[in-house]
Amino acid sequence: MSDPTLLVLASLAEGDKHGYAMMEDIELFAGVRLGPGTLYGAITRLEERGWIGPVKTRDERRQPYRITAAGQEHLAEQLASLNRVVKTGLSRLKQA
Amino acid sequence: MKRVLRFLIYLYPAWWRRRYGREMEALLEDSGSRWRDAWDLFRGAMEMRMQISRWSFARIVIACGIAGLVLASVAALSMPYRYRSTATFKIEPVDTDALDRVVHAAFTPQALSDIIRQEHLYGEAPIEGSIERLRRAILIRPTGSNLGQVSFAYENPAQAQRITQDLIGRIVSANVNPSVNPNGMRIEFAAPPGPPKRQFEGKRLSLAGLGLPGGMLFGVVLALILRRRRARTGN
Repeated sequence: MSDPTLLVLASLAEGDKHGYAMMEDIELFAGVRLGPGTLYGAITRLEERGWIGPVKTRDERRQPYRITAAGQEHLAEQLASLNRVVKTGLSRLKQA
Repeated sequence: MKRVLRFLIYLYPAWWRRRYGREMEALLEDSGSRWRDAWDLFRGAMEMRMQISRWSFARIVIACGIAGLVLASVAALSMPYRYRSTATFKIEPVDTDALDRVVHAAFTPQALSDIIRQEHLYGEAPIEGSIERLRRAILIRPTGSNLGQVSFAYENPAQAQRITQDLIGRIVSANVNPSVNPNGMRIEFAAPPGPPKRQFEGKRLSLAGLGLPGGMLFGVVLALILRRRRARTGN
């Protein structure tokens, strides 16, 4: 899975995070280090689509984000789709 | 390195810097500086700049107009030039009906088809269409009381001259046929086909000129579509 928007959503599914925390978390669970341009490109798109939103904070430079209900729904759909692909792929590998 | 990365943030559009600029600076401070981040930031900035859905109505229309002008100009410049070779003939006595009969007899579909095959004109186009194109490229017009011109235009100047010479030969042959020219009208060629001249082609200019309004019209439609979509999504 290398779609940055899905990685960000998956990271935020665990809880609110700011940019650097997301970067660290994604590297930890997916083994992918998103560059700053890629990360904020994904954040911009996700916020535009209403799938994540900013959380009120004192430190505006380290703005945390939260996944919205629509974002959770989208993530669930995408992961279910990925899951089907993974299951099919694994079963076909076993048969081969 | 940090300076370079900070500078790259300025490549992002103003609306983006206002919203995310300070967050990006903080991220760069926290994550440390890497050279590959420079390329990532540059690419991200270009992607944001290409987000046409965020452009203003006027900007979309102007950009599409300029793009249309550039594309149409490139298309107009890539159109092949045509060269016209012209020969002058003299008629004695002047009999326009007889001249029409001679031209009709000289340029039968079979005769024109032969020319097309011999000279491999108009590529692989169907022969009927090619005959029509050849007819349109031939011009016969009076230039004086008893003078006229026959000319032919084609992309290859040498072929244009050779085919004009061929057309002259066919006119002369048809003219000496008594069944075509019973009154004995004489046709003499006063000047052989001259060096072909490059034609001024209005359609080239028209095409280039259409690019700007065409592009702007497209821009208006695109801007309206984007505005509707923006209103629907609330972004």
